[in-house]
Amino acid sequence: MKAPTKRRRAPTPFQTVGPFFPHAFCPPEARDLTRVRAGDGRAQGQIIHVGGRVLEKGGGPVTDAVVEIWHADAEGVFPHPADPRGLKADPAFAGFGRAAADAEGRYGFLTVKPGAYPLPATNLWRPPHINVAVYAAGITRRLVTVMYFPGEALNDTDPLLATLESEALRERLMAVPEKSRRAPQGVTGWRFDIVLMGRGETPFFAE
Amino acid sequence: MTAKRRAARAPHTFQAYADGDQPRWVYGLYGRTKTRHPRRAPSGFAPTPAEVTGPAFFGPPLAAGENDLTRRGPGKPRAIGDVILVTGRVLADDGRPLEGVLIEAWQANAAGRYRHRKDDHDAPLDANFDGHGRAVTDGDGGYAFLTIKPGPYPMPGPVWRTPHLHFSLFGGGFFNRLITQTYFPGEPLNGKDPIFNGIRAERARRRLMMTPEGEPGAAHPECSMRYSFDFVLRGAVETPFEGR
Repeated sequence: MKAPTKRRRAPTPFQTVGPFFPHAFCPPEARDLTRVRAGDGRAQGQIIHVGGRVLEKGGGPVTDAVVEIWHADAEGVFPHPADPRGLKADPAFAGFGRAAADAEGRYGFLTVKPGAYPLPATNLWRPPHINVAVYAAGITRRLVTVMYFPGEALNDTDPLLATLESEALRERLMAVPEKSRRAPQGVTGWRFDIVLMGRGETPFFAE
Repeated sequence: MTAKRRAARAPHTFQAYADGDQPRWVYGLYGRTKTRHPRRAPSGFAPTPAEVTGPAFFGPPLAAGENDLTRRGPGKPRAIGDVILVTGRVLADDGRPLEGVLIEAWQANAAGRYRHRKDDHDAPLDANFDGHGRAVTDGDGGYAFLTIKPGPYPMPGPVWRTPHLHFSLFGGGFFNRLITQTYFPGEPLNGKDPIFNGIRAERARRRLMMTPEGEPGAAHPECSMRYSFDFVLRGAVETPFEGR
């Protein structure tokens, strides 16, 4: 049994990223999770392209959005000591990516389809999924959501998806297969638009 | 099984952010929030390994002088403005110093102009100022940036931003990634800044205020003042196996 938690300090509050996040912090390499260093081997697993547009109320593009993703490798292992199975992840897989939206609000990543992984102390496995965080001027903290893949049986028992109050909301988090011009030849493309507000608004999760 | 492996396989959780200590999602004076805040309040807090794990470092290895924003490179001419030193520690919310945390910093120049294609307001650029840098915390969780005090700048409104620094931190988990801004005490615009005052509670705004420390020039020969600021990132808690 763990000792009771001692009093915790209040965490430093968020502030908006603002419109001037440096280009230098969003280099092209940051959008490619299939390599950790230029010249390294490629990550194992099915290479996919995920991307879409970040949109605001009224459907206009959020051209100053910064999108970050984090997910497990193709075997469902996180590159982190707190991986639930204590396994070592694919050393060629970056795990984390960052992309600045372009003038159309468009972002994109080259990555691998994540594998499923077990939830500690349960019999549940989480389906393949990608954690997504969005930052922009006008977003006063950050907004986080999760991208899922349609047709995965484990979606039906995912604890986070289960917190959404309707099937329609769950559908909004399913990536849509898409042949993207931005995806290299032979790479499966997935589309995931992030609608900050309004019609088709993406469901976001609390932090 | 070693203690480390046992710890890694234990379920982890963390405290949700107290909403009142964070900025409001929408308010009139910060116009862009009106089209960019979700109508459906973010909900469904359910920490899983995907939230507990996360990157601690990102990008290329740090180059020499990356935490010195006063020059575009070592040996290059100094930027215009008040040279200040910003130092402190990154701590977990239980007070533990966090080592190896990447901090990305960016800001406007002394005239209040950002070196960014989206900033087209009428203040001059400084050829010797890029306005961004990086640092990694040491064994005590300590970091330091040598920089120039930024000027205020206007937003659409017109409202003005009070002088501020931008920071992004990688706490080693998706859940404690932080992007924030820090402020200078006594600035006349602090009470009017719509982004800063989006945080309703004064005790929470105080957590973003830097503290002037020591004598001018004492910390660093070029700098007029040292400001200290500690970042507090929420920590993961290993939940007991029984009862959760």
